[in-house]
Order: sequence, then structure tokens, then C-alpha cells
Amino acid sequence: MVFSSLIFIFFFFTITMGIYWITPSLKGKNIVLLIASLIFYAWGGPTYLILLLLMSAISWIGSLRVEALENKPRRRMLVLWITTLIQLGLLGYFKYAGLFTATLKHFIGWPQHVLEVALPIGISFYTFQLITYTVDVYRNEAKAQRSYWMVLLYAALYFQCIAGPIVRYQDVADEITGRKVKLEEVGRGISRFSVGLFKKAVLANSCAKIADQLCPMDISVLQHQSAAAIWLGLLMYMLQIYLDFSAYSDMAIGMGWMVGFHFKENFNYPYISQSITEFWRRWHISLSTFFRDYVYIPLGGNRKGAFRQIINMFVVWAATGFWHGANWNYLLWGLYFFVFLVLEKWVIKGLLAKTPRVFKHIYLLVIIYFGWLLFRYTNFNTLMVAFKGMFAMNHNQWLDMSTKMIFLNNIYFIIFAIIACLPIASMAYRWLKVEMRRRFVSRVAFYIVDIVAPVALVLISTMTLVGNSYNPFLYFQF
Amino acid sequence: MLRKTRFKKAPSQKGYLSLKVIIFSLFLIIMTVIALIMPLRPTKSNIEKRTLAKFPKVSFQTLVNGKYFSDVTTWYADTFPMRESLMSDNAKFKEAYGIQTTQMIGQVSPQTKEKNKAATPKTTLTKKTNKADKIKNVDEKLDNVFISGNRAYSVYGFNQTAVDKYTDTINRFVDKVPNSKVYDIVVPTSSGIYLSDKTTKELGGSNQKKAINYIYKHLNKKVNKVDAFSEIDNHSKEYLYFRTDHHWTAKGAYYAYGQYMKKAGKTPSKLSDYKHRAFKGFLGTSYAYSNQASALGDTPDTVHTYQPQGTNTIKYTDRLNQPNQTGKIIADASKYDEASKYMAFIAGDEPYEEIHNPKIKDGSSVVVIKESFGNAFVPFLVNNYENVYVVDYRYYDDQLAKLVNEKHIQDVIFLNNISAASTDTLIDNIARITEN
Repeated sequence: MVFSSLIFIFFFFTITMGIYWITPSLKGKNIVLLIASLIFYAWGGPTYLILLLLMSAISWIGSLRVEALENKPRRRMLVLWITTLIQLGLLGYFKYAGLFTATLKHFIGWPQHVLEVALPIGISFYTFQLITYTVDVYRNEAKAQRSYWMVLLYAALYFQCIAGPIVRYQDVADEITGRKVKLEEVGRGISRFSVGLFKKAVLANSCAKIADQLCPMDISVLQHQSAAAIWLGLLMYMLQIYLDFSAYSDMAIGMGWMVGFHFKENFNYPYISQSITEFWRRWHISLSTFFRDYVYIPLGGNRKGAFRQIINMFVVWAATGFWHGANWNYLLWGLYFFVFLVLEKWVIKGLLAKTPRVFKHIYLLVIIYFGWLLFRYTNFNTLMVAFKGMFAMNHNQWLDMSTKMIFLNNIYFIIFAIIACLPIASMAYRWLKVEMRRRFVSRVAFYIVDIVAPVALVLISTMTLVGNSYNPFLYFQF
Repeated sequence: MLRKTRFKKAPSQKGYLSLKVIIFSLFLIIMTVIALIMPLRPTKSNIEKRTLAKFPKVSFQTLVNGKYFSDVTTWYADTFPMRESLMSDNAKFKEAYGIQTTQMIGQVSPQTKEKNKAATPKTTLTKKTNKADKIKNVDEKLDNVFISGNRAYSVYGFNQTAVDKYTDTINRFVDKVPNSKVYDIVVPTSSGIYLSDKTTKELGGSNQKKAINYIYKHLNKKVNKVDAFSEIDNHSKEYLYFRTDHHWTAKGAYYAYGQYMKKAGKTPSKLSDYKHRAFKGFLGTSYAYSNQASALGDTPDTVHTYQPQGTNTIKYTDRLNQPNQTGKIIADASKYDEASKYMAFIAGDEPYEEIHNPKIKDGSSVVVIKESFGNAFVPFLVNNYENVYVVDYRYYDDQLAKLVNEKHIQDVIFLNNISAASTDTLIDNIARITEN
């Protein structure tokens, strides 16, 4: 099930939340959440539920062992490694076996049959969550959870199980077994949830439609696209991917607040960054902090000299890229950022410091923009056609009438979508919140906006979702 | 005094917050309840002309592979209460997205340039029997709609392989009916008449006049080619094409009929010889394809019909293969819904139809092999022939040559719009009924 489906909003979510609220004890509430999450997960293919149950069990046992071996550091470490490698092995098999066998077959003709493994929903997210659990216990940053069901709830919780954010165990360990709901946070959760749904159902989906029309995947159509079409299409894709992905996090965080969970922010207006370094502090924060805390720092981080640091960064960014999908272009996409991060750290650091903000901003946007081209086309031939097409090198036109028309037909929407990627709306909201303390009128205005807006946003989203029954989140493939 | 101090304090938000939570929860609950009231759920969509998803049946396999659940999800969204009105609200909402005086929905299919045709055409239908099942029942499909002002066009893209297949198919057929005269009518679509060459080119389309000339040039000498294009073009100021639908109007068809009669050496009936009726409020395929663009929706079309003398009765075999159904040549479309008014002509797209005019006793007969453009054309022939046969090649199962020879049909008319004559899958269907 996806968040942006009618059956989720007006059936699953409403009913499970209703039962949750009338259930008296926290223990009961957790049972409700767990059962709901398992149903939610099984909805996309019940067989993969077994894998989720199994992987949670491995982490549960592993972590208990790690904790029990407190005084035996070597065996303790061994258990940690075994647990983690099993999880990574399963992730590797289910996610990358197809790619690896296909690549081997391509180059050395062996094996004869490419493995066809379907990707279990959300495996990239919950595998990482389960890894943080065992590692946090190992580092004594969290206590091992006695109850298997609570480990399962942590991994399977439907708010974040299938598309993030990647919640670290130590961040929610206490809230699983004891959390308080504040009315103020429920209110904020409602707003956040509605904004997220609107961002996905209305903004991201519309961007996707334009992007798909202008930058088609089919190479035979793509090569005839005008240069302007590809430029505009790629811009729409850039907007889409942020709006889509951050929408999911918005909804997850909002639902968390409604029941007393506090997930960390996953996006912080990445497109306003001034450098690639800053961008990755604002983009998919839960993923980059995972790699920082569970890969980069354990590898030695920046403590072992510049050479080791560059090697460590290389490993982290190759992994970050490859995490995004089982295709080689994602690996390149990660390394593309590695190059700029190294440059920013050692080569153009002084230059950047002296550059006016506006140019730094343009630099960032250009790098990110072309990065999304690398991200979009998994096939290298198609990628090259798209890139050449941007400079009219496919015997294609620079500008054609359809593109002009698509641009004009959507001009207000495009402006709106760009604004939605900037912190303007949240600044206005905060200003209104301060302003309302001063004047009665602004208080009434704020109350009305705050009460009416969520309902209106969900209604508009409903309208656009009707007749659009198949509508998965982009980040499903990860 | 009291009031002043009350407002200076940081306001307690509890009351309003409770209100917010209650309103939002109630909203979700009400929507959920509405969504679960089964009678409110629609079962078919008029605008999309399709039956909506049905609630799936459980089976062990679909339960395990997840198909059952995805079908339930589809059903839930597809049959959501008030679907059609929510969809049209959504269409209105999307009109605020930008300046939409001209719009392009979809894309012109990639076209092939006109090249020198290979000397010996060898495009035959491969694996006839197997393929026949697959290619049957291919409906015409719009792949793009261009809207300018209150008129929608479908931009045409030339496809040489397909067009060559079309001419080869008809050329091969001619020899199978040596006792009949074969006519070919390729009808332009509205974009070929109304859009300038420059606009057509900019939209990625091809010149229809050239395409029709190409077809006529490559058709066998034994095929009589009817020049509908020039006659329609000469009268382009009249109401010859619908603005919200991809079809021509009956009047457009009348000019093609006139040209045909001339070619056949007969006198066409005057338009006033037919009984005129008009049905207002027609919003056709282009309107649906554009997701209900209000540029079109605000000014619906009118379907003008011209009923022949002598009879208004038609006998047909329907798509479930049931013979001897009766219908009207011109039906009363005033009760039809706004999307279906073109169904006024010859009972819509039926595989096989027969009209016998009791007023004519000369044994004359004609068969029209057509897609839906033929529907508006056929009624005019009834004034001039004792027997009019109609074959919709997309749904017809028998062999055309057999029909022509058994019924001793004198005149055989292939009628296609230029887009159909350039669509591979449709030509495969003509081949299917002509090549055994």
C-alpha cells in the first residue's frame, strides 16, 4: 500500500488510527500498530513478510547476544559482524543479485541464467534500521530489546518501513515502550501529514507527468525531443524527486507525531544549499547520517590522514549511490558527488569562500541538476542520447512548439512547485504564528488557516487521486 | 479592561487545537464511511467509455502474489464515490496550472519520412491464424490532441511502412473480386484541413494531402480513388468536423459521398433529399482525451443527421456475434449521453450490417468496409442502392471476398480516415479479412 492511495487514507489509516485511539493501554496500542504494520506490509506481497520477520528475528537474537557478551569483547564483535553480514547478505541478494549476474553474463558469458529476484518492498530501509539497532546495542548506546515483537514493530512500523526516513534505534528506543502524546503535536502532525499528501498527490505527480512527457525513457522517442524539452523535463524531474521523497518523510513524521513518535527531519530544503557538502547535510539526512555514523566514522573518518579520508569518502559515496538502486548509473551518481565533495574540501575551498552567495547557489544547482540526469537514465545509451539532446546534437531542434505549449500550459504550476521547494511557506507560517500573539485578527486568521488548510489539502489531493489508481512512490525501488 | 489583559497573555491554544483534531478526524471518518457505502460507488464511466474495476475474487494464488490486494486498491480508487464529478473538478483545477489557450495532450507518433518504395513489396501478414486472434478488436486510438481555441485536432504522423501495407493489402484484394468495382476513400482528419502546414510541422505532424496522394499513387489501377480531400477542403468553412471529437460530421461525409457518386458515374442525392435532425450537447473523444478541457466543454458540438428515404431500419450482427439484431440507420440520440451521440449513425460500430431499401428494386448493391468514420457516410448511400452492406473490419470475422462474391455485390468501398490508413494494427485487421 502507498500513502498516496485512497484506500490508505480513507480506509487503512483512518481505521487503524481509530482503533489505536480507543485502545486504552500503551501495550494494546503497540499491538494495534504492529498488526496494522504487518497488514500494511503484506498488502504489497505477503510472501516478503517472511523476510521481514526473519531479518527482525536475526537482529533481535544478535542484539541480545551482543548485550549478553558484555565482558567478552572478541566474541561480542564476532556476533555483531555475523548479524550485520547476514543482513547485508540478504539485502545484497534480494537487491543486487539480478544486476551482478546480468553484468557477469554480459562480460564473461557466465552464468547462463540471470537471477531474477523481485525486490521486497522497503528492504533497503528496514535493513539499515535493523543494522543500527545491533550496532547501537554493541556501542552501548541502547539497551537490547527483550521482546521480539517490539523489534519487529521498530522495523515494520508502517509510517516509515517502506520509504524512510531511516530511523535509528537509539532515537526511538524509549518511545517504543513509553511515549506521551501531546495535543499540540497531534495538531502539528495533522498539518504535516496533509502537506505531505498534497506535495505527493498534487505537486510531485504533476511534475512527474510533465517530466515523463518531456524526457521519455524510450530512446526512440527521446532522440526526437527538442533540446528545450529535455532541459525543461529535467527541471521538472528535479522538482518531482524532491517533492515526492520529502512528501513521504513529511507524512511519516506527521503520523509519528500523532502517536508520540519523534522521527528526525529527513529533508531541510536541500535546493537552497550553497555547496554539495551542504546539500548532503540537507538531503535525505537519515541516509547520510547513517553512512556517516555506521560506515565513515568506523572506517576512520578524517582521523587517519587525508589519503585515508579520501578512500573512506570514496567507499561511502559509492555505497550511497549504489543504495539508490540496482544499476550501475546509481554507483556513478554517488561517485559524481564524491568528486565534488573532494574538490570542495581540498581544491576549491578557498575559491568557494570568496564567491558571492548567488554564484555558489548557481554552482550547486547546476551540479545537482546534471546529477539528476545521471539518476534518471539507468541505461547508458539512453543517458548519452539525453545528454546530447540537451545540446541539439541528435539532429533535434533546439525549441519546438509542443514544449513551448507545455511550458505555457503549466507556467503557474511550475512557479508554484519551485516555491514549494523553498522554505517560503514555512516562513510565512511561522511569521503568522508570531504575529497572532499581537493582534486578534491575525490570531483568528491563523486559527482558520490552521484548521481549514489540512482538510482542504486532503480534499484537493483526493480529487487528484481519484481516477489515478496506480500511483506508487518513486522511492519504492529502493 | 478584562478583555485587554486576556488578549495580551500568550493565548492558550488548547481549545483551538482540540477543534483542529476533532474536525480533521471527523473529516476522515465521514469520508471513510461514504467510501464504504457500496451503492454510492459507480460501476462504469461514461466519459472514459469503460467499465470500472470490479472487486476482485479471492484465490490462493492472487492472495500469495499480492495481486488480490493490488486489485482491491485499484477497485477502491477506481470506483470512488462521486468519481466523475471529482474528476471534472480536478480538470477545472488543472486549468489554473497555466495559460492554456493552446494545448497539446499526448504526442504525435514517431513518423517515417517518405522514401522510395521497394520495387517488390513483400509485406505479408505472417502467421495468419495465430495473429488473427490477437489483432482483432483493435479500437482506434487517439495518440494526441491539440487544442486551439475551442477546437481539438489530432495531429497526423505519416508512417510509410504502415501506409505501404495498406496499399498492398487493397491491391491484393482487388483480384479476388473480379466482378466488382473497388473504390478507395481516404478521408482527411480535421487537422489536415484546418491546421496550416507551418503549425502541423511545428507540432511534429505530416501533410495529409501528400499522404493521401502517396496512397492513391501506390494503389492499383483497378482501384477507383475518390478525392474526398479537395471537396472537403473547398467547403472548409462549413461544419464538416466536430470540434470536441475526432470524427467528421455527416455533412463532411456528404461531400465525400458526392465525390464517390461522381466517380461511380451516378447522380448523388441532394442533401435536402434527406430528413434532417440535430442532436445538441455532444462532447466527444477529444474532450475525454483532454481530460475534459473546459475550452471544449463550454461549447459542445451538435450532431446533425440526415435520414435516407425509403427505410430507417438496419439489420446487424453484434459484437457478441449474435445475428439479426435490428436497429435504426439514424437513431434518436437525444437520450444518449453527451459522449455517445455519434452512435446515432447506423447503430455504432457493429461487425456486419445490412440495409435493404424497399423503394429501390434494381438489384444494386454496395459494401462499405470501414472504421467509425464510415458510420456517418453509409446513410447517404441508402438513397441510391437497394442493398447496402457494411463491414467494420475491426470486428468482422468472415472473409470479405466470400461476402462480395456470394451476395454479388457490385461496388466495394474501402473507407478510412488517413490516420487509420496509417495505423499498423488496423491495417492488420483489413488484411485479416481480405487475405485468405
